[in-house]
Amino acid sequence: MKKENSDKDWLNEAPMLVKISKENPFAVPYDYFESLNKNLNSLAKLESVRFENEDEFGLPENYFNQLTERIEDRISKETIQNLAKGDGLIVPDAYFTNLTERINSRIDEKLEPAKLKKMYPHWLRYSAAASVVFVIGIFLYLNSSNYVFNQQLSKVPDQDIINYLQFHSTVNDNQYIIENVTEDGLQQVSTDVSEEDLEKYINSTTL
Amino acid sequence: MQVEDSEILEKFSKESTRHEAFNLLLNKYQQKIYWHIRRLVIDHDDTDDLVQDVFIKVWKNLVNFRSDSQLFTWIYRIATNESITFLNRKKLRNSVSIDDANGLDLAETLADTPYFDGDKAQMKLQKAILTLPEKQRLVFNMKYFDELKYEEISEILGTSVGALKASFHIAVKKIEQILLNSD
Repeated sequence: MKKENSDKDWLNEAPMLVKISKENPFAVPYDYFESLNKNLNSLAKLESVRFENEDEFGLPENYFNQLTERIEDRISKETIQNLAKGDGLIVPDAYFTNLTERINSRIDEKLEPAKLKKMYPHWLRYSAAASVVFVIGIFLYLNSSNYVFNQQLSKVPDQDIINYLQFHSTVNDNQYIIENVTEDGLQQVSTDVSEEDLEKYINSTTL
Repeated sequence: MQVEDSEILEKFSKESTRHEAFNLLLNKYQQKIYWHIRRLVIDHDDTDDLVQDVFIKVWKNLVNFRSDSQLFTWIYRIATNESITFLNRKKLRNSVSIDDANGLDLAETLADTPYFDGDKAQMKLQKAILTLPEKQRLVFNMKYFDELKYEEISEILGTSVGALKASFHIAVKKIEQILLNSD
């Protein structure tokens, strides 16, 4: 009873307050508490399935081990950037304003076409070119024939060549040999060939 | 007939009946908590957000609730803390002093809200309540409108019964003075 009275003491101290209705003056939208109930139940269901799996959000391997280092690297980089803005290189005053103009003027010089006089008529140029090609072709052909001939000759055995020369040589051949043989070649002949063979040879050939 | 807290807690402890328990809890407490928050923050939309935050916290933490306090005082405490945090954040956002005893910011909200059906006298009363410091306003609302016992308020706010009585009496005197001066 005493406790109850002490709780109501204030009524005597505030007559103005007592006169004012205790009825709730605040309103809510129509059907608010019904929809609130549904919303809260839905939220609770959502919460109950959320983060069921602890590893729902995976992380790369060693993420936290490397994270400190990456943060420190980033801080260092930004510190350097703050201390040294730019690369320190400078250009002369108004350099870039004149640069475009200077580049364009140099391009214009290079593009100016050279005026040439035609010294030779068209047909003479073409025929000169054709002649050159012809001469080169002949040269190549001859050389290639000799080359091919020499290649073929090198494949023939030495004894066959000797036999051929023996049976088909003439006075002119001997004369040619005498005029063109070298001392070294002569030495070889004189050491490898016997006197008997030499006499036979001389007797068999017609002077 | 309202369900007992013990039944709610028992059903909540089993996974198969957890949602049923939560629904029972909502039916029992959602309006009380709503009005408790609404009288503090005034605006309906802000209240709606806070009510949802509060009951999601209840859902997450009810499984760990120890019966050393009553269920409704535990929920009230969550609601009170959420509301105070919200008001402090709002003051910072609006660059209003946290010690704003005049509650000018909330008075503006009260004047602008479309969800006020009271008469002139009730408007004066609400404006007068907004002039009180935050904790005094809490005590006044819980004692005057919610008609909670000092012991229950003490459990919610963690303040002694004696301090609460003193706080309430001072609040009543201030409001009375404002109502007298406003005439």
